[in-house]
Amino acid sequence: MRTSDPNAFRSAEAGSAVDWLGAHGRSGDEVGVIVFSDEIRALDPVPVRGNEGRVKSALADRSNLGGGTPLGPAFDRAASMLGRRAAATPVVVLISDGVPNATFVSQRTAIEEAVRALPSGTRLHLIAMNGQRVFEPVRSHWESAGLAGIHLVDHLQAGAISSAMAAILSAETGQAVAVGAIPAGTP
Amino acid sequence: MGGRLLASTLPRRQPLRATRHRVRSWRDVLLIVPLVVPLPLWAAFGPEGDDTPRPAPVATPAAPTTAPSLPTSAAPPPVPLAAPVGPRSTGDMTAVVMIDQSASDAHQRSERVPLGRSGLGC
Repeated sequence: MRTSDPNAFRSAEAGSAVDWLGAHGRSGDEVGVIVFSDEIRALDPVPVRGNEGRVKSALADRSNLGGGTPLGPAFDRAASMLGRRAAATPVVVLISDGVPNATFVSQRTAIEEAVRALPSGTRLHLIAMNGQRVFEPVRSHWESAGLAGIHLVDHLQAGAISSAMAAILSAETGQAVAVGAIPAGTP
Repeated sequence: MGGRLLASTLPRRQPLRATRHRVRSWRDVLLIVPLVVPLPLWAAFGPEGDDTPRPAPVATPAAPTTAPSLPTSAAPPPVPLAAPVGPRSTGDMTAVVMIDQSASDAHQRSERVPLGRSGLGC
Protein backbone atom coordinates (compact mmCIF):
# COMPACT_ATOMS: atom_id res chain seq x y z
CA MET A 1 0.00 0.00 0.00
CA ARG A 2 1.33 3.32 -0.99
CA THR A 3 1.48 5.80 1.78
CA SER A 4 -0.91 8.69 1.71
CA ASP A 5 1.76 10.96 3.12
CA PRO A 6 5.07 10.18 1.40
CA ASN A 7 6.85 13.05 3.09
CA ALA A 8 5.45 12.18 6.52
CA PHE A 9 4.15 15.71 6.97
CA ARG A 10 1.44 14.62 9.36
CA SER A 11 3.61 12.88 11.92
CA ALA A 12 6.54 15.29 11.54
CA GLU A 13 4.47 18.42 11.98
CA ALA A 14 2.42 16.92 14.79
CA GLY A 15 5.86 16.43 16.30
CA SER A 16 6.45 20.16 15.93
CA ALA A 17 3.46 20.74 18.19
CA VAL A 18 4.94 18.29 20.68
CA ASP A 19 8.19 20.24 20.66
CA TRP A 20 6.25 23.44 21.16
CA LEU A 21 4.38 22.02 24.15
CA GLY A 22 7.64 20.77 25.61
CA ALA A 23 9.16 24.24 25.33
CA HIS A 24 6.21 26.49 26.04
CA GLY A 25 3.56 24.31 27.65
CA ARG A 26 2.75 23.76 31.31
CA SER A 27 4.62 21.16 33.29
CA GLY A 28 1.36 19.29 33.77
CA ASP A 29 0.59 18.96 30.06
CA GLU A 30 0.53 15.39 28.80
CA VAL A 31 0.37 13.96 25.32
CA GLY A 32 -0.67 10.51 24.16
CA VAL A 33 -0.60 9.05 20.65
CA ILE A 34 -2.87 6.76 18.67
CA VAL A 35 -1.97 5.72 15.12
CA PHE A 36 -4.64 3.52 13.68
CA SER A 37 -6.05 1.73 10.71
CA ASP A 38 -7.00 -1.94 10.99
CA GLU A 39 -4.76 -2.05 14.04
CA ILE A 40 -4.25 0.48 16.77
CA ARG A 41 -0.84 1.44 18.05
CA ALA A 42 -0.81 3.73 21.02
CA LEU A 43 1.31 5.52 23.54
CA ASP A 44 -0.49 6.35 26.76
CA PRO A 45 -0.24 9.98 27.78
CA VAL A 46 3.07 10.99 29.27
CA PRO A 47 4.26 14.38 30.53
CA VAL A 48 5.31 16.06 27.36
CA ARG A 49 8.18 17.95 28.90
CA GLY A 50 11.19 15.67 28.75
CA ASN A 51 9.42 13.02 26.68
CA GLU A 52 9.29 14.82 23.35
CA GLY A 53 11.40 12.21 21.58
CA ARG A 54 9.30 9.34 22.85
CA VAL A 55 6.07 10.97 21.75
CA LYS A 56 7.46 11.85 18.35
CA SER A 57 8.65 8.29 17.83
CA ALA A 58 5.12 7.07 18.48
CA LEU A 59 3.78 9.60 16.01
CA ALA A 60 6.27 8.44 13.40
CA ASP A 61 5.19 4.79 13.61
CA ARG A 62 4.36 4.00 9.98
CA SER A 63 4.17 0.24 10.30
CA ASN A 64 0.40 0.31 10.23
CA LEU A 65 -0.29 1.99 6.89
CA GLY A 66 -3.32 0.87 4.90
CA GLY A 67 -6.59 -0.74 5.89
CA GLY A 68 -9.75 0.94 7.05
CA THR A 69 -10.73 3.73 9.40
CA PRO A 70 -12.28 2.09 12.46
CA LEU A 71 -13.26 5.21 14.34
CA GLY A 72 -15.07 3.38 17.12
CA PRO A 73 -12.18 1.31 18.52
CA ALA A 74 -9.76 4.20 18.09
CA PHE A 75 -12.02 6.61 19.96
CA ASP A 76 -12.67 4.02 22.66
CA ARG A 77 -8.93 3.83 23.19
CA ALA A 78 -8.66 7.61 23.35
CA ALA A 79 -11.50 7.68 25.87
CA SER A 80 -9.66 5.26 28.11
CA MET A 81 -6.55 7.42 27.92
CA LEU A 82 -8.40 10.61 28.78
CA GLY A 83 -10.66 9.27 31.49
CA ARG A 84 -7.93 8.59 34.01
CA ARG A 85 -7.02 12.24 34.66
CA ALA A 86 -9.98 14.34 35.63
CA ALA A 87 -8.09 17.50 36.57
CA ALA A 88 -6.73 18.20 33.11
CA THR A 89 -8.67 19.39 30.12
CA PRO A 90 -9.06 16.50 27.65
CA VAL A 91 -8.11 17.40 24.10
CA VAL A 92 -8.20 15.14 21.06
CA VAL A 93 -6.59 16.05 17.74
CA LEU A 94 -7.69 13.69 14.95
CA ILE A 95 -5.80 13.82 11.65
CA SER A 96 -7.94 11.98 9.11
CA ASP A 97 -10.03 12.30 6.00
CA GLY A 98 -12.92 11.82 8.41
CA VAL A 99 -14.52 8.99 6.46
CA PRO A 100 -15.30 5.99 8.71
CA ASN A 101 -15.17 3.07 6.30
CA ALA A 102 -14.67 0.17 8.67
CA THR A 103 -18.11 0.05 10.22
CA PHE A 104 -21.44 -1.72 9.78
CA VAL A 105 -23.49 1.35 10.61
CA SER A 106 -23.98 4.54 8.65
CA GLN A 107 -21.18 7.06 8.50
CA ARG A 108 -23.22 9.55 10.50
CA THR A 109 -23.92 7.00 13.21
CA ALA A 110 -20.30 5.88 13.31
CA ILE A 111 -19.12 9.45 13.77
CA GLU A 112 -21.74 10.25 16.41
CA GLU A 113 -21.01 7.10 18.41
CA ALA A 114 -17.26 7.64 18.22
CA VAL A 115 -17.49 11.21 19.48
CA ARG A 116 -19.99 10.24 22.16
CA ALA A 117 -17.49 7.74 23.58
CA LEU A 118 -15.14 10.54 24.60
CA PRO A 119 -15.33 11.86 28.17
CA SER A 120 -17.65 14.76 28.76
CA GLY A 121 -15.96 18.05 28.09
CA THR A 122 -13.43 16.66 25.64
CA ARG A 123 -12.40 19.23 23.09
CA LEU A 124 -12.12 17.43 19.76
CA HIS A 125 -10.31 18.98 16.83
CA LEU A 126 -10.37 17.39 13.40
CA ILE A 127 -7.62 18.14 10.92
CA ALA A 128 -9.57 17.08 7.86
CA MET A 129 -7.49 15.82 4.95
CA ASN A 130 -9.65 17.07 2.14
CA GLY A 131 -7.67 16.16 -0.95
CA GLN A 132 -10.02 15.61 -3.89
CA ARG A 133 -12.82 16.90 -1.62
CA VAL A 134 -13.37 13.51 0.00
CA PHE A 135 -14.16 15.07 3.35
CA GLU A 136 -17.09 17.05 2.01
CA PRO A 137 -19.68 14.20 2.06
CA VAL A 138 -19.13 13.65 5.79
CA ARG A 139 -18.48 17.23 6.75
CA SER A 140 -22.01 17.87 8.06
CA HIS A 141 -21.81 14.73 10.21
CA TRP A 142 -18.72 16.04 11.97
CA GLU A 143 -20.11 19.54 12.29
CA SER A 144 -23.23 18.24 14.00
CA ALA A 145 -21.13 16.12 16.38
CA GLY A 146 -20.07 19.23 18.29
CA LEU A 147 -16.37 19.54 17.59
CA ALA A 148 -14.17 22.29 18.98
CA GLY A 149 -12.79 22.90 15.50
CA ILE A 150 -12.50 21.50 11.99
CA HIS A 151 -9.30 22.45 10.20
CA LEU A 152 -9.39 21.75 6.48
CA VAL A 153 -6.25 20.70 4.63
CA ASP A 154 -6.99 20.69 0.93
CA HIS A 155 -3.36 20.22 -0.08
CA LEU A 156 -1.00 18.22 2.09
CA GLN A 157 2.17 20.24 1.93
CA ALA A 158 4.90 21.55 4.18
CA GLY A 159 3.39 23.73 6.87
CA ALA A 160 -0.22 22.60 6.41
CA ILE A 161 -0.38 20.42 9.52
CA SER A 162 1.76 22.88 11.49
CA SER A 163 -0.69 25.66 10.65
CA ALA A 164 -3.59 23.57 11.86
CA MET A 165 -1.68 22.67 15.02
CA ALA A 166 -0.95 26.34 15.64
CA ALA A 167 -4.66 27.12 15.39
CA ILE A 168 -5.47 24.31 17.81
CA LEU A 169 -2.83 25.38 20.33
CA SER A 170 -4.08 28.95 20.11
CA ALA A 171 -7.58 27.77 20.91
CA GLU A 172 -6.50 25.51 23.76
CA THR A 173 -4.00 27.80 25.48
CA GLY A 174 -5.47 31.22 24.81
CA GLN A 175 -2.13 32.30 23.40
CA ALA A 176 -1.29 33.45 19.90
CA VAL A 177 0.58 30.58 18.24
CA ALA A 178 1.86 30.84 14.70
CA VAL A 179 3.96 28.84 12.29
CA GLY A 180 7.66 29.61 12.45
CA ALA A 181 10.08 29.96 9.59
CA ILE A 182 9.91 27.14 7.05
CA PRO A 183 13.27 25.33 7.07
CA ALA A 184 15.43 25.56 3.98
CA GLY A 185 15.05 22.62 1.64
CA THR A 186 11.46 21.94 2.60
CA PRO A 187 9.35 21.19 -0.49
CA MET B 1 20.77 -19.75 -64.59
CA GLY B 2 17.76 -21.46 -63.04
CA GLY B 3 16.60 -22.77 -66.36
CA ARG B 4 19.99 -24.17 -67.15
CA LEU B 5 20.08 -25.90 -63.79
CA LEU B 6 16.61 -27.39 -64.34
CA ALA B 7 17.55 -28.53 -67.77
CA SER B 8 20.54 -30.32 -66.48
CA THR B 9 18.31 -32.38 -64.17
CA LEU B 10 15.85 -33.47 -66.89
CA PRO B 11 16.38 -36.50 -69.05
CA ARG B 12 18.21 -35.66 -72.22
CA ARG B 13 15.79 -37.65 -74.34
CA GLN B 14 13.07 -35.06 -73.58
CA PRO B 15 14.36 -31.71 -74.79
CA LEU B 16 12.88 -28.61 -73.20
CA ARG B 17 10.43 -26.47 -75.09
CA ALA B 18 10.14 -22.85 -74.14
CA THR B 19 6.46 -22.48 -75.04
CA ARG B 20 4.85 -25.66 -73.79
CA HIS B 21 5.48 -28.43 -71.33
CA ARG B 22 3.57 -31.61 -71.55
CA VAL B 23 3.32 -34.12 -68.79
CA ARG B 24 4.54 -37.28 -70.35
CA SER B 25 5.05 -39.56 -67.39
CA TRP B 26 4.44 -39.96 -63.67
CA ARG B 27 8.01 -38.95 -63.24
CA ASP B 28 7.13 -35.41 -64.32
CA VAL B 29 4.25 -35.32 -61.85
CA LEU B 30 6.47 -36.46 -59.06
CA LEU B 31 8.87 -33.66 -59.92
CA ILE B 32 6.25 -30.90 -60.02
CA VAL B 33 3.90 -31.79 -57.16
CA PRO B 34 6.40 -31.47 -54.36
CA LEU B 35 7.31 -28.01 -55.64
CA VAL B 36 3.81 -26.55 -56.25
CA VAL B 37 1.46 -28.10 -53.72
CA PRO B 38 3.15 -27.24 -50.41
CA LEU B 39 3.22 -23.51 -51.09
CA PRO B 40 -0.59 -22.84 -51.09
CA LEU B 41 -1.07 -25.34 -48.30
CA TRP B 42 1.41 -23.47 -46.16
CA ALA B 43 -0.10 -20.13 -47.09
CA ALA B 44 -3.60 -21.32 -46.15
CA PHE B 45 -2.88 -23.34 -43.08
CA GLY B 46 0.69 -22.80 -42.14
CA PRO B 47 0.58 -20.14 -39.47
CA GLU B 48 -2.43 -21.65 -37.69
CA GLY B 49 -1.76 -25.26 -38.34
CA ASP B 50 1.84 -25.13 -37.39
CA ASP B 51 2.10 -27.51 -34.54
CA THR B 52 5.81 -27.66 -34.31
CA PRO B 53 6.90 -27.54 -30.72
CA ARG B 54 7.89 -24.12 -29.59
CA PRO B 55 10.20 -23.27 -26.80
CA ALA B 56 8.50 -22.78 -23.50
CA PRO B 57 7.92 -19.13 -22.64
CA VAL B 58 10.52 -17.71 -20.41
CA ALA B 59 8.97 -16.60 -17.16
CA THR B 60 9.60 -12.96 -16.49
CA PRO B 61 10.40 -12.14 -12.94
CA ALA B 62 7.30 -11.05 -11.04
CA ALA B 63 7.07 -7.50 -9.84
CA PRO B 64 7.72 -7.16 -6.15
CA THR B 65 4.47 -7.31 -4.19
CA THR B 66 5.74 -5.46 -1.20
CA ALA B 67 5.24 -1.75 -0.99
CA PRO B 68 8.20 0.40 -1.95
CA SER B 69 10.27 1.50 0.92
CA LEU B 70 9.11 4.72 2.41
CA PRO B 71 11.33 7.72 1.83
CA THR B 72 11.58 8.42 5.50
CA SER B 73 15.23 9.36 5.24
CA ALA B 74 14.34 11.98 2.65
CA ALA B 75 11.55 13.49 4.72
CA PRO B 76 11.87 17.25 4.89
CA PRO B 77 12.39 18.95 8.21
CA PRO B 78 9.05 19.76 9.82
CA VAL B 79 7.82 23.29 9.87
CA PRO B 80 8.19 24.47 13.50
CA LEU B 81 5.87 26.60 15.57
CA ALA B 82 6.98 29.97 16.82
CA ALA B 83 7.04 31.01 20.45
CA PRO B 84 3.61 32.02 21.75
CA VAL B 85 2.50 35.55 22.28
CA GLY B 86 0.66 36.31 25.50
CA PRO B 87 0.11 34.39 28.71
CA ARG B 88 -1.60 31.06 28.82
CA SER B 89 -5.12 31.30 30.09
CA THR B 90 -5.93 27.61 30.46
CA GLY B 91 -4.91 24.87 32.86
CA ASP B 92 -3.16 21.58 32.25
CA MET B 93 -4.27 19.54 29.29
CA THR B 94 -4.11 15.91 28.36
CA ALA B 95 -3.95 15.76 24.60
CA VAL B 96 -4.27 12.67 22.46
CA VAL B 97 -3.07 12.97 18.88
CA MET B 98 -4.75 10.45 16.58
CA ILE B 99 -3.40 9.79 13.10
CA ASP B 100 -5.54 7.85 10.64
CA GLN B 101 -3.28 5.64 8.56
CA SER B 102 -6.01 3.96 6.56
CA ALA B 103 -6.16 3.29 2.85
CA SER B 104 -9.00 5.75 2.60
CA ASP B 105 -6.39 8.43 2.97
CA ALA B 106 -4.58 7.10 -0.10
CA HIS B 107 -5.88 9.88 -2.28
CA GLN B 108 -3.99 12.43 -0.26
CA ARG B 109 -0.88 13.54 -1.99
CA SER B 110 1.90 15.90 -1.19
CA GLU B 111 1.60 18.82 -3.53
CA ARG B 112 3.74 21.87 -3.97
CA VAL B 113 1.26 24.62 -3.39
CA PRO B 114 2.04 28.01 -1.88
CA LEU B 115 1.43 28.00 1.85
CA GLY B 116 -1.24 30.67 1.65
CA ARG B 117 -3.49 28.44 -0.44
CA SER B 118 -3.69 25.57 1.99
CA GLY B 119 -7.33 26.31 2.76
CA LEU B 120 -6.84 26.10 6.49
CA GLY B 121 -9.63 27.32 8.65
CA CYS B 122 -11.58 26.46 11.73
